Amino acid sequence: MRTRIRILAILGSWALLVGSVLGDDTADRTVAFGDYLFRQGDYYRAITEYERFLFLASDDPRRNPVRLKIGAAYYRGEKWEAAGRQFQELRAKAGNTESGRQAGLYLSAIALRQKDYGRALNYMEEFIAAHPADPRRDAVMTELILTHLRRQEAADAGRLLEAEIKAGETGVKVTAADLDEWRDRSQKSPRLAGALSAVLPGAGQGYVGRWSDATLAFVVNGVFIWGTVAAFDRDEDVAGSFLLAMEATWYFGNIYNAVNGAQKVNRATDERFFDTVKIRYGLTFPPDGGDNLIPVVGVSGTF
Amino acid sequence: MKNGARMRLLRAAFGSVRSSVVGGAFFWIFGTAIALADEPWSIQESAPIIQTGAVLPPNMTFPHPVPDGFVKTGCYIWLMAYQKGFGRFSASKCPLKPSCSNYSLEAIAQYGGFWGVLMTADRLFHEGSIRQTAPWVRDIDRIRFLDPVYDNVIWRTEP
Repeated sequence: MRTRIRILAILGSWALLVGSVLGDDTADRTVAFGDYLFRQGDYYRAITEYERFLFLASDDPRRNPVRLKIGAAYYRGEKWEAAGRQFQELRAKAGNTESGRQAGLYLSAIALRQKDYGRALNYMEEFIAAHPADPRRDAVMTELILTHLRRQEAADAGRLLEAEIKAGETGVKVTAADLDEWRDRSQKSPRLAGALSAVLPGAGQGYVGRWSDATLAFVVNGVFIWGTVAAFDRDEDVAGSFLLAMEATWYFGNIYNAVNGAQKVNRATDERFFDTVKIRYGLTFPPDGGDNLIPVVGVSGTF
Repeated sequence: MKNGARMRLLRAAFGSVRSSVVGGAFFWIFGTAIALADEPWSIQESAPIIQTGAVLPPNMTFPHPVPDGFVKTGCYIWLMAYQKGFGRFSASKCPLKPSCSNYSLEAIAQYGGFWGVLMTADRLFHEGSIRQTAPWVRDIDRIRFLDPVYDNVIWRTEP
């Protein structure tokens, strides 16, 4: 009898030990597998693994970093709304922790990706005000200055940079020379492009360097003008009126196209400037590029 | 041919027709469900998926609302007639997303008849050149160039 009880006690304690070890190990392995999927770019399945961890480890202190990973997976998967919700919740729950701060940075990054520069500026300004001693503060300030430039607010960008220099903050990557380069960049005038196309269809498109649009606008307008004149010459008023209406559409469409083309060329020039600056200083945003998420799986202390 | 053999042949023929119909229906429904399914998703750098309302800014949407007013409705009817008629043969070849007729519908519905028509003319002019600069996206089974209406609004300002 005593032997039986002893065997049962030993088996029971082993079962408890193995169960606890396996349980913890499963949670760790789940996150590790999620990380593996994340690195592979399989974000959808990575989120499933992270969610599994949250389910298995209901009161684990590592839940917030894992929530951050879920948000990052949505972000990488370009699911902006889902990522935004995740980061908003995380920032509200854990604003002052590392996860909360990273969530704030990701919210700025989402706004930038959505080209909502006003919202991005708000998030970045909030971050700098709330965490002035954060090691990523200068990187955020650099992005803040660039975001002002994206909004064509060169004066605001200049003021911010000047204040940083005066305050002795030397970590900001953008320099006064970069701002000068921005001001001196080649820009096409949409008004001039439109006026040129009003005088000679296709001329505005040629001015901005879009030669295929220019040729098409010139030929189409030429053909319709010729057709209209020929129809009225032959006293075919109905056909002439129809062709005139069509030509009016092509003519004003040609002016619109020249203005639109100039704006597109300017936007492309701006994007090239930002790409050059990013490559020049190795800028990424969020500052760690999202690759250095807080490690959640450490050495297991249970065995 | 004897009666028994004829019956067997007919049964086999009808059996195969029935199986074909049932099998075809099954594959059609199942295949459609797979084609329309959104999940699971993943992103490949070589061909990112652009989905309606998911990745575009809130003011860049593909679905066009039903228009109001005489000019808008006239253009809408004309374009719908094009899409249901001639466009059936040519729309699938449009290399841009949204297609030119959908672009026109959206532009007219959002910005009115005058600007919508001008934007349509502009789209037809830049259809060739935009391919050199526009981001390309995977649209179900093929690659298309992204050129949403919002990108071509000349009076737009960045928020």
